[in-house]
Amino acid sequence: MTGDAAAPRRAPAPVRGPRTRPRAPKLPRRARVGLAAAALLGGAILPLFLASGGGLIEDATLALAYVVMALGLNIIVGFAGLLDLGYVAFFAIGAYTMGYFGSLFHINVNGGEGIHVLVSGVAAELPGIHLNFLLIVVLAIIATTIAGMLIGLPTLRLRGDYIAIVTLAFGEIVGRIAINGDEITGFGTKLTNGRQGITPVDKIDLPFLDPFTALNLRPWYWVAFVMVLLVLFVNFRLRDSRLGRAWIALREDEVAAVSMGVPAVKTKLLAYGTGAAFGGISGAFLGSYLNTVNADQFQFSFSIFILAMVILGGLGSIWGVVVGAIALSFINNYLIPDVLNNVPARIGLDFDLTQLSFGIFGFLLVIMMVLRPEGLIPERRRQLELQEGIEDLAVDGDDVQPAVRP
Amino acid sequence: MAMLEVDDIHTYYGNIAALKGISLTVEEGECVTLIGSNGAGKSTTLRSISGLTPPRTGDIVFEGENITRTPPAAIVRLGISQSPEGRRCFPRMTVRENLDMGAYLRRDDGIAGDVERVFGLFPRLQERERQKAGTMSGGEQQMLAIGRALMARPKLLLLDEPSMGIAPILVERIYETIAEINRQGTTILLVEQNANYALAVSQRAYVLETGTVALSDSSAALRTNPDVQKAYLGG
Repeated sequence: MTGDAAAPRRAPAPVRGPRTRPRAPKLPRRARVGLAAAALLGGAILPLFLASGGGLIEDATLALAYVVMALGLNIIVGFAGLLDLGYVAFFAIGAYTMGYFGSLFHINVNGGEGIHVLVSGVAAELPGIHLNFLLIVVLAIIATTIAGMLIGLPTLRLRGDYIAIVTLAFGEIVGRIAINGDEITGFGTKLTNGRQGITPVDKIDLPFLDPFTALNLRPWYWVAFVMVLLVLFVNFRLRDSRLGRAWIALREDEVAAVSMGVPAVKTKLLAYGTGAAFGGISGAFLGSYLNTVNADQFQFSFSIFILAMVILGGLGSIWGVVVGAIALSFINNYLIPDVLNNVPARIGLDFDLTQLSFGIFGFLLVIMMVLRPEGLIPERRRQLELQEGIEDLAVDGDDVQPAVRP
Repeated sequence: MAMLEVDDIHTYYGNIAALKGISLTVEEGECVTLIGSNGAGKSTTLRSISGLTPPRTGDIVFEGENITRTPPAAIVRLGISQSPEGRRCFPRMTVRENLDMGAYLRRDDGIAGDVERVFGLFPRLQERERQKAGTMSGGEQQMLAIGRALMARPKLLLLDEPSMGIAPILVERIYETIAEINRQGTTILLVEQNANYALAVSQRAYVLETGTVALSDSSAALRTNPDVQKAYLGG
């Protein structure tokens, strides 16, 4: 109740002089819709121009799966402002759902006969549990949503950095369990296959289509593309919904939001839950696509990798995150290993560029923070946040200075 | 029966007792004020009523319903809304978006009409409808905070230090509007350090000192009370 509290909670940043650029001009609505439609159309027909057997289409499919994850993390970090450093946990849970219900992992189940639900081809003959891919996706969504809310619970009373620490620990716990799960047994089965991994994993098997193969990657790409479309749709709907506004309000001022009747607990848990569900969908897809569910996939660096996509693209900006995810994914899976990997060797240095991947990402992020801290395609509100100093001076024709002290 | 009955509440921040047995009542249609110095427990009393920091012991009854342990959202739904201390507008939302947040729990079709009502009370907000709240002056943000609380269509409006950090000319305008809101039928519980304004606009007042009620009387009587004049009115 002191007079000091009259000052705004965050003092306006000093103006940064000539370094601050004017805000990027906003494209007219028609141009933006046109651009989005062109990008989606281009994405849909892209596989027709690529060899179906591997190489670029393989990387493109992976990139789409990462887009789904990045959009999920964007709900938690970008929309609701909860810094989650353990997103890899949801990848792991989604992938293990795929491994449990679509592989030879439970080989003794049903007396070695196996359980088969709506699967065809080879999978229908094998022992173990084999569910249809769509059913597995539903199970993955359920499992990750519950996991997301569980991790959300202990962070509800925390803020900022402390949320990051708790979520980081959660990601590590899941990663450790994945590695050591081959020692944990019960009900006649191991918990995970540890570093050996669960492999092979069933190929995607959709109604009316032949089971997918590793030889023709186009169907995989299109499945990933449809996932991206669905997730994009959900993202846009959420952003413009009551829930979306509640997330923004909580991010901006939690006390005020609660005073307005925003139920903080429910709203935050919904952010964790939906964000996690996207990770689960993508995780199930990747389990099948990569044909292995392997503990080495679920490391802390993966959480950072996805977070870097979100930050590079622009926190909270849906299209920005799509671009950020595709860009980082191609740098990681194509540019560094396939194109630039021999550069150090050629100039007489004794290492591969892939060994420097994370150094390169870190460098890219630093460059971004210097040149364009709001991300490639900034979200409107976040941009304001980063350029607040100028905005505060733009008040005109007022009889009082902002925040006069009594 | 009074609209709001607060009975012997004790509220703690951690282990520190901020309220040590506050009791007060607010009748329907009244404007009641709590005055007192820093740390007397004025804001904590409001935060206890609105559910932000529920009391450890004691009872809060609103229109016959015990709301002592009710979560904040449900309290808003029952008809109590708050303009929090320090205004706390959503800085990167526009004026209009802030007002819409005030109506967050409502699903009726009277929201647009209530926005017009708020604009009628604070014409300055209408001029700045599309401006970001964080770019407005303290006084304008206070108007917005009050307008946002009104958007919940409260039966009881809680106002926490509406004069804090605002140029005197705007304080006067804001207090005229508070009186008008009360005349239009909204019951108000007002917390204020600036006792001059608070006693002028209210019918009854409680003087708080270190978490207890030191004195309560009609506002008119308190204005002439020598102790109050000396301690709070600069007399």
